[in-house]
Amino acid sequence: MKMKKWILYLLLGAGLFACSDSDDDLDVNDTPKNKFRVKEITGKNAHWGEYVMNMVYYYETLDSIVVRDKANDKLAVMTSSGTDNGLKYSLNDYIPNIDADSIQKLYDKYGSLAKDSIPLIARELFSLSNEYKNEILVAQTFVYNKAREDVGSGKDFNNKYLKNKRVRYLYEYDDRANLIICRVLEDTYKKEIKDNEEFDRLVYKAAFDLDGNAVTSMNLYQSDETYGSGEDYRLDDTYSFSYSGGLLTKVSSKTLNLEYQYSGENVSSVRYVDGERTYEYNSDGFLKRVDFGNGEYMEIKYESGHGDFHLFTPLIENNFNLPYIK
Amino acid sequence: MKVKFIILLFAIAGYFTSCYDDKSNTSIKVINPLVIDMGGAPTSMSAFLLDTLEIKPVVYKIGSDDADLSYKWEISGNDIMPFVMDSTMTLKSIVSVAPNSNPYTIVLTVTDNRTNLQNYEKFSLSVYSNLGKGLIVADTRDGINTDLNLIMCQNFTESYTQKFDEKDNTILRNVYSTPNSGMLIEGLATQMITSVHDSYKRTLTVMTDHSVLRMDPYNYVLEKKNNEIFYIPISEDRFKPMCMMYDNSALYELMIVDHVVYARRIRYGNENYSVNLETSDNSEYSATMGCSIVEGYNYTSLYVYDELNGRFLKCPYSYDELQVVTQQAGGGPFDLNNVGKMNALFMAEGDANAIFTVFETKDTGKRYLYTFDGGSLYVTTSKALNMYDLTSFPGMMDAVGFECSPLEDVLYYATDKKVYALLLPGTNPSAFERYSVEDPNEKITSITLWRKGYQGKIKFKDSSSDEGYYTDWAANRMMVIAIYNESTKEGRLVCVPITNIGSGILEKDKDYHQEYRGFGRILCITPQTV
Repeated sequence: MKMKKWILYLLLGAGLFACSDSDDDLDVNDTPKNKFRVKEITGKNAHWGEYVMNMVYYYETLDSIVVRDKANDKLAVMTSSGTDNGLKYSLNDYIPNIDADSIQKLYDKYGSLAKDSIPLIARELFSLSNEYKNEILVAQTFVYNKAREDVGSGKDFNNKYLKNKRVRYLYEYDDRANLIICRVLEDTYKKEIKDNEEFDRLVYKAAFDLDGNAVTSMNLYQSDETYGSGEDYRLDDTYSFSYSGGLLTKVSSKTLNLEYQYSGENVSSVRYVDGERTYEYNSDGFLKRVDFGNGEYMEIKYESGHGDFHLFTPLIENNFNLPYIK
Repeated sequence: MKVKFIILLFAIAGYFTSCYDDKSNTSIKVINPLVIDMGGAPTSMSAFLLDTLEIKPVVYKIGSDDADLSYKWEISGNDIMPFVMDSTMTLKSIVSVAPNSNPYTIVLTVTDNRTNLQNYEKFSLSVYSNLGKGLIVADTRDGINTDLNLIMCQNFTESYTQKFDEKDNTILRNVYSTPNSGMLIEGLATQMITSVHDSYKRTLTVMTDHSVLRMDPYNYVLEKKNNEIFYIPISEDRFKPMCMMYDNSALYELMIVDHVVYARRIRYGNENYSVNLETSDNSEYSATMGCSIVEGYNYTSLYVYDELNGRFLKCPYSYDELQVVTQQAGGGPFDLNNVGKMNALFMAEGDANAIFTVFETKDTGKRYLYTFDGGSLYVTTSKALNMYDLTSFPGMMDAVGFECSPLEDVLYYATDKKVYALLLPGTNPSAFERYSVEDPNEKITSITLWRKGYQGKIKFKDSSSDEGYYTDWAANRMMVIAIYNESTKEGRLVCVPITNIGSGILEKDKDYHQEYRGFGRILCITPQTV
């Protein structure tokens, strides 16, 4: 009897929701699903050196990532968890939880076997919180920590990571789901350990002008720092977007200059003021390799299915047509 | 059973009505909220008085122009009159409310001017004081009113345990007007004194030619004024402060108001000046100047000059009268009870605790230095030591300031361009130029010897050390020269080491001078010692 009653309630509930109009005026559900999603990234960077990153999905949502070194030892693990209005991803390095002297003593005693005896502890290197409203991504917060240069020894040993930067993006769209305003809170934490909880904040607002769906310019405003100025924002820079044959070829401003090269319709390189990134694609048009121009690179492998790895790229970068991993 | 029936009734009603397109509601448009996004920043914070407080939220309303939003940051609490700190999206304001053990409340009110929709965010602000020892500088920008500034740095603040590191120097400007609702001190400050004892009550007393102001030098909030710090009120027409003095042995402050001397014992939290002092023989007097004993516990007596009778009057330990001086047997170069018709221009503690007084004769305008041994607080006898005719020394008649030192038999004096040291030992005192300003727009306005012990250090040139200098206490070894640029309207202080005690030699190498800029015309300075 009880079960029957609950089924009845559920059916009634479904009836109520089935006819409700969505409050959302945006065409968020029109975004096509990808045929493939990233499964593995092999690469090299300044933090981990050479690494292999493997992704695990729960249905179409990234669930976890394990990062290993060339010797297949675990470097880091990323996990995801639900929040009130979205998802939080937390990437934790696994680092020794004893000082260098103690590690050396283990090696002196056990030789190469000591590696397995070194206790490890997870320290958060990076986190990303995505916030949604009516299924629309409305905010992203990227938090970047860093390892201490000196973890000390003995009773002074402390390997807790230091806060480095926190960037929060707040997104506003037009009725065609184009990003038209991005507000940014950029917090840079003080470098001194005693002041590491304190930060300096910059507040920006990027406002895009569009022609159809193509960005034609972006005005970058900064909150006015002048005491008693009476102004909320002042124009900091204007970015002009140039197109050729429907493809974005150049973004120029006082402080930034990007030049794009294409292979077909795919961006093959982006030249910055102080460097160049190059991109290669597989036969399906998905990113296969990214070279950062400084010896760092990523090689990407895919599996069938739709994923959400693209969320690790701040949404504002899409407006600059910068290639990203899907 | 009844309850079950009602639930089922509602459920069925919901089922039948769920797809009904209720046209009565289609004109309702959901208003986007006014969002105040703190981006993870805390809403409770603390700051020091006079710090610049910054709070940076992002405020927006989807679909609305940012220009349609208006802001009000209002602070309240601790019985202050609430006031608006800023009216832009991000707050940037000087913390001007007095330090308090209870936090203040700041409320950000955001209004959408098109819909009058409002949103609020509440912040808690704890305010502390970091205003401590240093040098208080009174300056004027308009030639009419005064503000105060505090320099906390190696020269004036440094304690023994701290390293000499100039990057820690701090100049806090407008420390009076900022916490007093922008109000300046009316008139030009002529003298200031800080004092405290027994940890009861810190005081800073500031004097102009018509007013006296009292505040705590940890927050500079005006506490009392004029007759509020006198037990017996002085009539308004006679409220003409002339000189303040401080006795570090007996722990008294003295003030001359309209030629009458008043004493304030600074112990046990006493804040007020007592009844006016009478002379020991009940004779009339007309005090114009006195000397302070700012350092040391050697019980050197403090003296005032009685212009009416041309005599010095001595302050006893009890400060209950002004004692007529008994000159020691054997006389001396002058009579302490009759120096003639003189205007006192300068009085201070000089070499070997002698009292140095620079006079100008009323009739001929000649200038003299009188020195005498004032004895101790417990002994009434005093001894005249020397009398020097200063009139013919270079620049003397144009002098804008005088100074002497407990460590050397030297009288320093300054014209608006040069500082001289008059070496007194021997039968033929000689004056030597020790410092000069070269900029034709600049003028020296005062010279002050830093007398405070165990507070403040200075660098002395030392080619034998690896760093090229050594540091030592600045007490009696540092001359603070105030300079004003008539063209730029900027006042500055230059701290110059006295390199050779006894010869009054000021360091010529400017690399060893410390400079503090950015003031208006400097009126007077005093150590903040509490």
